[in-house]
Amino acid sequence: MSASLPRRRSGLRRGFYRFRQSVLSMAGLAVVMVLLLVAVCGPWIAPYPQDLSGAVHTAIRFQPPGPAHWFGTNELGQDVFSLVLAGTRISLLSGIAVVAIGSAVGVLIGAVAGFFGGLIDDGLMRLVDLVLTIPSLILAMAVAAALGPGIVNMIAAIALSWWPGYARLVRAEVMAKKNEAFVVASTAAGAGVVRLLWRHILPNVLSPVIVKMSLDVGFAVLTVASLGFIGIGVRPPAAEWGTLLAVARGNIPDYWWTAIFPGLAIFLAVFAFNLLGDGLRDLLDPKARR
Amino acid sequence: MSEPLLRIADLHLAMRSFDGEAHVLNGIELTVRAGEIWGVVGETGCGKSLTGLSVSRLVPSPPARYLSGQILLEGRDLLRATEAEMRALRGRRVGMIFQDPTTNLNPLFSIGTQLIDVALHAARHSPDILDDAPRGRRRRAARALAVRMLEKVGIRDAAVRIDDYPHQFSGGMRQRVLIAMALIGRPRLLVADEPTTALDVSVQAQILQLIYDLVRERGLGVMFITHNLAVVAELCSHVAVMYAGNVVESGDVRAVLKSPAHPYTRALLAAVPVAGTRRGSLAGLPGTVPSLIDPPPGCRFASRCASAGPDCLGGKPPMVPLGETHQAACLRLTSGAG
Amino acid sequence: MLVFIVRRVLLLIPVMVGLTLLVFAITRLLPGDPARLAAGPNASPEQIQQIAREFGLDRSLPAQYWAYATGLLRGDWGMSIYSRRPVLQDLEAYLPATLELVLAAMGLAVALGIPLGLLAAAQRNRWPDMLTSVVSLGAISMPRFFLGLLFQLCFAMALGWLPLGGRFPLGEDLPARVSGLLTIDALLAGDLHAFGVALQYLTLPAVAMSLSPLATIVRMMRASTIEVLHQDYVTTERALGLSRRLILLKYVLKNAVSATLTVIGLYFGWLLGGTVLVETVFDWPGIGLYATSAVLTQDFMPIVGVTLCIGTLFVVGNLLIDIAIAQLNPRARLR
Repeated sequence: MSASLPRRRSGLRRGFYRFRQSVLSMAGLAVVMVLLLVAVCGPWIAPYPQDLSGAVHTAIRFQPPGPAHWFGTNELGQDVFSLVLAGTRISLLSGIAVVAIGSAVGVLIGAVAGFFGGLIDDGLMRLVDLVLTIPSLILAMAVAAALGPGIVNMIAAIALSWWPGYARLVRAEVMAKKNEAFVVASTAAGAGVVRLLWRHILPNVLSPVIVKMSLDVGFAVLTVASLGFIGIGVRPPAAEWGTLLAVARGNIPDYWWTAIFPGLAIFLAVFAFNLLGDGLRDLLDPKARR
Repeated sequence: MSEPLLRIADLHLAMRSFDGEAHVLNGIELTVRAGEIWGVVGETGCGKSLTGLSVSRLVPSPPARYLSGQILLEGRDLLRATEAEMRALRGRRVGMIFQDPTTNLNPLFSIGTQLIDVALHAARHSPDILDDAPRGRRRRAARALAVRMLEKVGIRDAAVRIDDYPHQFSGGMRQRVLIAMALIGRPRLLVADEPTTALDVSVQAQILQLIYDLVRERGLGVMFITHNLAVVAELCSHVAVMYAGNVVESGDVRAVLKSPAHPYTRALLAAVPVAGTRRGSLAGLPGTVPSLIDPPPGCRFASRCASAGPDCLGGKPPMVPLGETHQAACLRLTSGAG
Repeated sequence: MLVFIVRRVLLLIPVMVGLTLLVFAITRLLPGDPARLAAGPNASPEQIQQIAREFGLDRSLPAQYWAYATGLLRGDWGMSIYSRRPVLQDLEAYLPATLELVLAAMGLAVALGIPLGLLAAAQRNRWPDMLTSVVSLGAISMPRFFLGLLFQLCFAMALGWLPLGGRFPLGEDLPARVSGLLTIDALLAGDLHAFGVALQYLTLPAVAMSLSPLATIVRMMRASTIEVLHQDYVTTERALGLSRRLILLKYVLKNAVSATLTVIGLYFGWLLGGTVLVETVFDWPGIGLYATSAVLTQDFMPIVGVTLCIGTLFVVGNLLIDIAIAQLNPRARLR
């Protein structure tokens, strides 16, 4: 045991080294940091905060990008830059919330299924298979349509289709770890089930879960924007990237800036999270390291 | 004497890793003649597999790098051959068998497909393998040859089973198929890297017998890589003992096993349990193999050697001839009595 | 093989039952009055009551499910509030367009993704590989609706090369309907002009839709090829003299494709989900566009119908992938 410790640490150090070496992962991390910062203080740094609460300036409709309005103005004369900045908060917050809820539910269900096995496992895994048969966007659409519009309903709808992946992952890891020596030893020593799961098994399945979460945030942001684009979820005037894009569809090609910038914002956020997730996977998941 | 089949002379190989460059082969010397079965023994990581792979130049480079030395196959230096020239030799002059029969056959292709492709490759350079069959009939000839080879290695109903997939065979049967594959191109040298280690003990003996019979029948030279001295004693005519990238002792198998001269060989022999060994009297070797990244100067075994002295760290000990073929690299050679 | 297929098809039955259960749960168990949802936002209380009676919402849940499931079998998939037509009839009209789009996109993704991934793996860590990795991750990150919009902006509006949207020009004669897939029907009718026109309309949406699965397949194919290249049997094949080309294009390819197919099955849903977005952007008259317009008018039953329909497509698609894997891998047939 003692001999394997330094090696493990040096493996981690090697991972960090590789992560730093990887320009792309670092770029992804930097963009994610900036986006998070914007998400926190977006409404305060927006140059035209009154536009965010639905102010209309008919005199300056469809101004092209320029010094006064970096991203131009939209059909209501609102500053597109301010809207995109404000949209960061909604998109990122919803994306992170979806992954947080989805992973929490999934980890719990997966741990229970993997640990108890038998009928409980069979039942839960059939449910997982079933939910996975409906593509998440479609399932979220149906659930959101049943729940009605609103940001909370949208998050719930997406999270409902998001947990099965985690359940599968954690179940497999728990099943694998369950029979390892140290877990068997603590069972023999009389550790309670909850304690065993919490203290011994969960910490061991954490790193694949974190990798999956970091890879998933990008897709969750994408799904949120997709639902916004279809017209479910956030309603104007609340600025959400997908919704902005949906409205702007009617303005192209003459007023292309109303569409390009929200679209680029979605792309940038998803790409940054994916780069970061890829880097983290290389760092934390030795199996994927090649 | 005639030209040896294989002569490895002063082969040095370095392997780059995250922590630095390891000097993994440190002047290997080995000569195999037709008809000789050489056992190459040593602990894991001593470089015996790398030596075997080097004969077919299969060590990936980078990270590996040959520093110096020669590998002469029938007088031709393989380290100077082009990849195309090497390819012409693989399977046709040198056959290889590896350890695990479950992973060395491609699971998605019938064994026939794999055998036929090897035969067709070998026949491109030596058409006599397929009895000089004309182009259009080569595939059929290769198939017939594959069936004959399968029968030869003891697969029953070979004409039917040739279309089966690897998973339809047992481990021992798969190793027989791999032996057929290694020999279908009529190589003159066979490199077998622990071919029986992954098999059940009962099957091991059969496979060893099969290899022995085929090798004798065809007069092949063999490099049989193993860590099992009992197998060496049973099968081999000669043995080379390797330690940390060096051949420390080599020669006729009886001479080496009966009167081992190098302290490492003696330690290795002492670690083999024989009938009547009392529990607890098994002599393990103290210490570990030195790091090959910055190896200590001199004899690489010195750090674990009971009889080492300061002079052992002075330089690499030279090979000292002890008999007709028997030689060992040590400054404190003792006679076999020890 | 036949036994394998038959067994797999029989296994679909419980899955389909589960699927209907899930969709039933969405309609009945979630908060929100199903009758109100089915009646639409502008319904009067009397209408809602009448729908509740029609749906038998006063009965027990198992009884309701039984009525629902047998209704599905009889072809009763509910009624669209908006068009006042049975949902099933609408789905039949719109499904071929979606199938055509999905098949074209998937075909494109597989046909390009497998060679590209193999190439990237063979060129591993050199610049073509690096470039492929970054570009494919970028393509995965690209929202398909935004990509579609960019395509329209560039190829339809600025350059005028391809039509902006829709599936076929209004004035022209459609080829005789056989499969409902316009390109195929045009070819069957021997009408090359119509085929060309249909292809023009199909190109932009299919490319927009295929890009992210294409990138996914490239990444999967690259990863599994690298994995396969590390296998012992590749060393054996090299040690016995087989050429790099033969090893890569015959022995490695089959293994890598078989591994990639398994993953493609998992991402097939992602592709199907995207049809909603791409159809919306390009006004492609498929079930996705149908569902989106239903969302905007809060027309509940079409959404449920599309969900069921796409779930079925997903299950069938995965079945086909399983069969393809079994075709490649003799061991998979045993499972």
